[in-house]
Amino acid sequence: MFERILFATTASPTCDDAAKVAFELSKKNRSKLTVLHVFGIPTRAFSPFVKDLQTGKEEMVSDEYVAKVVAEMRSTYAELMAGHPDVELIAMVGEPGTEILRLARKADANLIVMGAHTRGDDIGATRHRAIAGSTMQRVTRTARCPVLVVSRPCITCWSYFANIVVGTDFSKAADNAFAFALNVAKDIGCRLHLFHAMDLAAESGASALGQDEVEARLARARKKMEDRYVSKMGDFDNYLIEVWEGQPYVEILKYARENKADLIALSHHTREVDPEQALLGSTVEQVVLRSSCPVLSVNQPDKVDVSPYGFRPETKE
Amino acid sequence: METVLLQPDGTMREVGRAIACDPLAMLGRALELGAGYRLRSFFRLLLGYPDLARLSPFLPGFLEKYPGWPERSPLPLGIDGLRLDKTVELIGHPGPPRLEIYSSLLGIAGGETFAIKPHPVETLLDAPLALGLCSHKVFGDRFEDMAFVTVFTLFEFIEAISWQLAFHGSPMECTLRR
Repeated sequence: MFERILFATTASPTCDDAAKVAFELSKKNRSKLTVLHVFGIPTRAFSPFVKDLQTGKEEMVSDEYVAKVVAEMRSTYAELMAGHPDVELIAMVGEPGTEILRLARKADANLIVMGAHTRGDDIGATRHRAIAGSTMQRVTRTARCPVLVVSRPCITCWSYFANIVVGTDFSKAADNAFAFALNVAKDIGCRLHLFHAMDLAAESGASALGQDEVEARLARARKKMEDRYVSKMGDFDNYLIEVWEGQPYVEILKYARENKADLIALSHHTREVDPEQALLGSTVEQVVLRSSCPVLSVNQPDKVDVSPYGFRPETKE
Repeated sequence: METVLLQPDGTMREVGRAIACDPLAMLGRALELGAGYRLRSFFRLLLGYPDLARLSPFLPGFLEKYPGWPERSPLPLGIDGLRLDKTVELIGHPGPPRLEIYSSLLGIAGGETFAIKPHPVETLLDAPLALGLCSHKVFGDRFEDMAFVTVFTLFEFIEAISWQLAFHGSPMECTLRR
């Protein structure tokens, strides 16, 4: 399914859940797995000193130092690497988001796997620091390939997923998330839940809508989903369509929990917001923060084709 | 300081008399919990004062599900109770130096705290709920952790519990495919 997977790690316990998914997925698919750890930011251009991202201390980087970091990575992931056909470990200095995106492009990765947080915090603390300015946010927004964010133990192996929920706002980017989710659902033979949340409070402004108008809007959204997505499913019939009213990230989480979702697929930005400006509070970040299953962010049509027979949105429209 | 007392039956009291309306005026009050207060009492409070449920988008969904959940006895295995703690952190790295203040709902077992995220909310409803201390942490060249007696406001109480519960809901088992 995925020929090349890039696993971006902080090489700390906060990425353990993501590591298990990355290694299991790549082993199962016999993919090449590149494990990247960006461990320091250069103090200035061409300087041999870097600021270690975990300790904050200045370190002098040499080939020996990088080799030492790689050896630590090898030791951390020794158990997961056992029997893996093709793993490459890379340690480097730089700005983490930039280096992850650069390597993903260079390696032509089909999928990036990463954890959601840099630090293992208790939940109370996450409200202040987990969303804004994180590496995860930058990578999910900009990557050309799908990004799988894993922040909790994944109870079901990828190949045994039973339910994939794809949240759509009818944007072009959401079409790509749908295409990827459909291809994965077809490939592993699981149910695809097409979900749309109508934020009527945001749409209607100060005026409250009557029940008839609410129901009419829900019916229109449902019809739109059928026209836009079901027509592209071919003979795939293992799907459900659901339209709920409410704040999108809240409703997606509620729906995913009620339906025991194994994966939530979303596009990073809403149709109203320029993706470069959609920094804070977007649906993806809110869902990633609280989701009990992995969340997949797909923005671009590149790499949505997970099998030779997959559906690619740009060629069908 | 003006206080508000939350009773296990979900009512709020102020100097011995019940508060009939306008719970918003109570949000900044220092909080006391009546004897026998449980997580279930929190949902009874929200049922009795629906305006308070507007503080988090997740609360209306919780109210549809949890208040009517059957009571259970004895308590869930390995959980003595729940406690709301406050944390003040001074952080030197990573990022610019900053101060963060937050409240967390934690589990208590054998006097130790633990994260309750993996536990379904249904199993925690009848666990005793108490107010804890303020932990003051300094991250830097050396780490310091001190604990102080503190007060919680009604707003902090509702906001912290609803924040925590929004993270619950992990399925406990794989689903069989068709």
